[in-house]
Amino acid sequence: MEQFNESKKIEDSESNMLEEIQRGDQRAFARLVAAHEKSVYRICYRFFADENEASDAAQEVFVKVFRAIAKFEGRSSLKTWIYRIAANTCISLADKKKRDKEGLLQTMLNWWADSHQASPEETLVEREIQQLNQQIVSEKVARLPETYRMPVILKDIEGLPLEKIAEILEIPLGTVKSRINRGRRLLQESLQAYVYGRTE
Amino acid sequence: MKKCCRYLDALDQNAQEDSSLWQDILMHASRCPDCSLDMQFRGAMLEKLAELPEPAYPRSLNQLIIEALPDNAANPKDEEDSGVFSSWFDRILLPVEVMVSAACLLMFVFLMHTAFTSHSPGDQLLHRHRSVNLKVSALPAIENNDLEKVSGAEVKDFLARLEEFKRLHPDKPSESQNLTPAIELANDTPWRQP
Repeated sequence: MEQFNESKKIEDSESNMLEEIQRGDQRAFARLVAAHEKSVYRICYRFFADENEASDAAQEVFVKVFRAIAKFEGRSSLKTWIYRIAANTCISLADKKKRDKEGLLQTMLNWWADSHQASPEETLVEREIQQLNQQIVSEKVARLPETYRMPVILKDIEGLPLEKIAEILEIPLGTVKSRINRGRRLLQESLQAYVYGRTE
Repeated sequence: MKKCCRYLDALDQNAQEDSSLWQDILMHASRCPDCSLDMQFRGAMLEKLAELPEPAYPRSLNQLIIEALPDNAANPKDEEDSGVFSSWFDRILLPVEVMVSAACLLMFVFLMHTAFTSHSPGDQLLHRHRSVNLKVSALPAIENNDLEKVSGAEVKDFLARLEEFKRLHPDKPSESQNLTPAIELANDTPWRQP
């Protein structure tokens, strides 16, 4: 009952804040930024594994939020809506960056070369796992193909339920599951290749 | 020897949702060294992902975001503060600006069209001829009653004076040379006897 009351309170305050923002209240929008800036930055940082890019992406997310908030109809929660904008912004920025830097073929070749550095060999699992420092894991996540990257981030790092991820990414639940599985497998292969490459 | 990927393949195919199939996979993984390794690695990887620390948030993140917003986001009240007069002025001014711009554009097109169409010498002559005709047609109509009666002697006298004038001024170009016969007739007033 307490939990219900708590969530009702959050919903009410969110609704009030939304009304104020839609009336053009600057302070209400600043409150919204303050409430969501960290989660948005965190997603962007997981996606790019780069402070500058994450910061740029977070700024762009809130610019988009500001421009579109007048049209927000409340079909999903404000947080889900902001996450959706963040996910789409990250994916489109990564796509743009990739197009600017290199062609699709080169990206695929890089990924292939990266994940096949060495052939797997029998090694102690404990030792392998020790090789996995957090920085490497973050970098490998950020190098997953965009299609799989965001579902893996939202599920395995942010810990969101599958239904929520489907709502955020606007894709069917089955697609979310298969993308997460595929992303995890690619990540695992990449990390294993890294670990085996280092322990050879 | 090729590595066994049955465990990873099963995960890819959402085998966890079928409990009996998943039990088989787990049984296999406990015996297969490759799958066992994959299973342990998968578990460790998920654990690492879940335990990834919070990134270091930039100190000025909030400020950066607010600064990145469009100007009207930073000062959304500015428009209201400028008052009703300003908004009404803008509303009235806008159509005027549009109309003036459209008029200028039309004028420009018209002038350009005129400049290009009356450019050749042939066109200029034609235009001049038209304007002369226009002048003639603009003259008031003369009724028969209003015409002055001219006697034959007067005509003879006029022709004699004309001959005399032509004899005295043989090379001087007459102003009427460029005019049509209709204009010559119309301009004979100075030669008339008072």
